[in-house]
Amino acid sequence: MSCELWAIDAEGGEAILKEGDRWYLSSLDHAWRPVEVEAPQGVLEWSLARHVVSVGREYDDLERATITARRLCRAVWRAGGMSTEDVSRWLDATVLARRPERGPDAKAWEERLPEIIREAVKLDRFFQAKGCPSEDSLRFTLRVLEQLRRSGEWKGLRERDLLLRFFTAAWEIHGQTRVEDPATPETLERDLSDYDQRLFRKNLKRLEPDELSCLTLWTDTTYSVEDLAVLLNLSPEAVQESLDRAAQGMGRPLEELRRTAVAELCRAQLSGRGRN
Amino acid sequence: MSVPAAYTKASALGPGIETRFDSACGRLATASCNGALRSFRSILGRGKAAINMPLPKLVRFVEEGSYLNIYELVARETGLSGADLEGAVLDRLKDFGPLRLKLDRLFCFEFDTHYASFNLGGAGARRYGSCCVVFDLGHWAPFHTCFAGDSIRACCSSGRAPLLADDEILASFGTGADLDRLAVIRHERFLERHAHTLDPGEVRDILEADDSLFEIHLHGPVTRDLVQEVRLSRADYHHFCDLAERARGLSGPLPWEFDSVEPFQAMLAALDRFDIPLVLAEGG
Repeated sequence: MSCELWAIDAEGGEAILKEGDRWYLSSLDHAWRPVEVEAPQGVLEWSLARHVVSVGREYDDLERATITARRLCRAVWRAGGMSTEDVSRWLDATVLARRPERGPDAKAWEERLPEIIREAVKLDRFFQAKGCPSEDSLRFTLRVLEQLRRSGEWKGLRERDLLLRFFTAAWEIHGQTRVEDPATPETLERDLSDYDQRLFRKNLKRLEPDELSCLTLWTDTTYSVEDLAVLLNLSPEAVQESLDRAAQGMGRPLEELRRTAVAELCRAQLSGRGRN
Repeated sequence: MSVPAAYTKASALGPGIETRFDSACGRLATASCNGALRSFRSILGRGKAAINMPLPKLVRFVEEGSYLNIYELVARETGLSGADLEGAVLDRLKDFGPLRLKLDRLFCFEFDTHYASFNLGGAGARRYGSCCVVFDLGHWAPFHTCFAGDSIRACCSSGRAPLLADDEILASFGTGADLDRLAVIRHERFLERHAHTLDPGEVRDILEADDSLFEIHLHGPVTRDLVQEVRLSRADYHHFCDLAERARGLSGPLPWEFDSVEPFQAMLAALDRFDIPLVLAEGG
């Protein structure tokens, strides 16, 4: 049943919600659990000394209305206060941000969601096994999910490619959030020559999917063969064989391929950008 | 200070209250309950005014120095006054606005009237918030007014029209000095069951219960310097302390219940800064 966020006193951390004929007060004092109130008595009493901002917006259900109320209250606290107009603008922005979720692909996304989530869970476990705090790991994974959905790439990806896409995106996000030491050898490394770039692009196109998947992950210096085995759900021997074949196909020793520039070429190839 | 219109209106109702009070005292004397009556009035003499509010609102009140009602809050935001302000508040309350206006007009409340409840040491009307802010009534006396019960609940049915006729509503309305008389009239049956004395805790529980509390109307500004103490129920205090302790060992996004940790800590800091005592409420 839809639920109206009827009014809010964001500074007080309270909101009045209406679902059908029933009225609820959701407040920070009660961990946001909606408590039923009588109308008009309860609502009028609540309003006596509240900074009432009437909202009058419909949400899918009581839970979504409560989530919006809580987020709005927290936004107001962070901002140190908000005018009625600002509250409206904030709510508008929230609606706009949610709109893409209801696009024409929504049904197809929902149908593939179990498969996508299975791969996302693998990624989450992998990051945790690498020592990432569970909150960070979950955050990276959720951001990847969001990015993947927006990009539309999920439609063409299956199984391992999907996981690989997850992994590379999560690693990029992780890289953006961590503090990097500007003096690491990695950042001082010379870019690939034009010749090497052309050669690698050509050779990458010839690799088998397994070889490309393993090489893409391998090019990130953080991960061992055992790590890749866990991530790709393969035996370490199978990973090593794929890597050896990939190195042969690339015409360079494995250790020489372990560099950021090669990783970028691999990712480009994997996402199809490097095929032209 | 000019005499509030609500006080003038309540004063005019005094003789009617006096008559009903005398009748009740006569019946209690016949039932040999004079001791209980004296005890009851003595306990009521210790009462104070209390306003319950949620944690973030208390923090804001203490930080800013003024506790504002809906009219004052809208006036601060919009700069409106008079009829324009009244119109703006009506808009915000949508369908419930006319009823609020009717009640304010019935009691002659002005834009600076603040609702409080009569308090005898408990945690107050917790449905309005867990923090019970206690004030000395002496600041507003003799011009504060009272209502025997919760005026909005007493006046409204589940529809939008007042449940009772105006005269019936006003029978429970009086000046602050009428409070103990109205309480005797209202709780005559309770007094009849006691001969000599009363347990203050029992009287407190009755007069602070949701369905039998006494409303106090404070006319004029309610400011930080008038706060005597802030009370929390023992259960709420330990809950907030426990959450704060548990939050210390956690990182990243926390469950919703932890949202109260930050305002709780801000409240402790603000009370400390302004030298306001935090007291655990009597009776749990």
